[in-house]
Amino acid sequence: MVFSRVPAIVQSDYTLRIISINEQKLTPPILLRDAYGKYLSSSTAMSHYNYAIRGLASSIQSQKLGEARRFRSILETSFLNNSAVYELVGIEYNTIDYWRSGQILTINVIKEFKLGQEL
Amino acid sequence: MRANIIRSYKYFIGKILFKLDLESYANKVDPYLKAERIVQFFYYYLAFESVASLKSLDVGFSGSQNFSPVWLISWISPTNLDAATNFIKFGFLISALVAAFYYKKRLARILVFLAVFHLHALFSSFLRFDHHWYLWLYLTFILIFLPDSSDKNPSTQIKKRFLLVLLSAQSVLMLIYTMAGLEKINGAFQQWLAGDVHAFASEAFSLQIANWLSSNNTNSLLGAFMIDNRWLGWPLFVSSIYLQLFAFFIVFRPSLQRFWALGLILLHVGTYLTMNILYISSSLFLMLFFFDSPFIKEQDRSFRSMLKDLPVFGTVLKLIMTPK
Repeated sequence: MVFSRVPAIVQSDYTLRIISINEQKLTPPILLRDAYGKYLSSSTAMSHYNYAIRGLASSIQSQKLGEARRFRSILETSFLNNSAVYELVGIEYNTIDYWRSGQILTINVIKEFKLGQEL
Repeated sequence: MRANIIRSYKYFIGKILFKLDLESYANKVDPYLKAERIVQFFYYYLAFESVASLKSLDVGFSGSQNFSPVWLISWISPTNLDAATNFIKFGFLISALVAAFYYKKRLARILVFLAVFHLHALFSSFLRFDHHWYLWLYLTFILIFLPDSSDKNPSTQIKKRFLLVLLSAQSVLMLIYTMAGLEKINGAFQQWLAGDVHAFASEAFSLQIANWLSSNNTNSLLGAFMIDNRWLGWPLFVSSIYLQLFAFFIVFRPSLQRFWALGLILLHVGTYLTMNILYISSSLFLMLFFFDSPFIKEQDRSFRSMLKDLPVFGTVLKLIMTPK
């Protein structure tokens, strides 16, 4: 953690969007930062979630299914409920605005997952 | 050619880095006593840490399914993880308590180093490498090389070796900051070449804080204020790079040791106030190894000698003040 690079003014990253929990649809669906501590265990540090999410995205894009399964299980064991539908999404945001209000410039769904269901 | 290289190397080490004459320190009693006290408190603190962290040493994170052992603990499998964790945890506790009593014995120092090594390996086997035990690992390793003597009047040779090992521990501590500083300069240079925002830009600190706070879903006392007042954060951020970059050189500039250690502790406090990141052990090591460093002499305490020894600015000052 040496902060060797300054984050860009507009940057892109991956995150999760929770669609439903325990068969109940969330309207609107919520992003990981809002689900943290609510639907995702806060005993796990956010940096660990971020690490697993980036790993999941890169393994899906490079079609490494074994690796993707491993990252999924890391994420899914942290879900408090045993029934959830969520999406892996790519987001683009202004760093300061995202911190201030959670505002996102663009959002692209990469893949939808149902907890426990095979890839 | 070869002789020239060796001569240049000796000049660099002797004149630029090594301003310390260990022989002169070893001939006195006071530096040795101070060094011994630092080592004693280091092992007391390690014993305290072994008790204080007993509860937090539970490997609860996400369960055994995320366990992927690093080479040192490849003998541990998810099925014996609980038993192995307890073995490492209590091995650390016992060896740290033994080392607090017998820190003058090399065997005790080796045992506690091995315990810290295993603890660090265990915590680095869950998704990501652990940062907390790094410094403990390096320092316990270096202190193994302290001379094994319980003589009340040790020889000059023993005192010199003791001071050399302490100087090595100080060097490693500061080298870590210098490497962080170098990484920032390297990153800034590459981002500047790419036309991106870099570490010397006015918004650099605001972006670092905002990015850290949002990606870790956390808040800090002064984060919002610093993001909104980026011109206030800019000099602080640039000063922090200066402090980190030259930290290693300060080991060989005793006049600046206390001042630099205080600066780095304030850097940690600032990181906590703005980003909610706190490195308690690092601050304690800086206090312990530098506030009453055995290498600080009476003449080093003057403001003038401090100014003259400042990296870059001191050289400029000397050039200005030297009569033509």
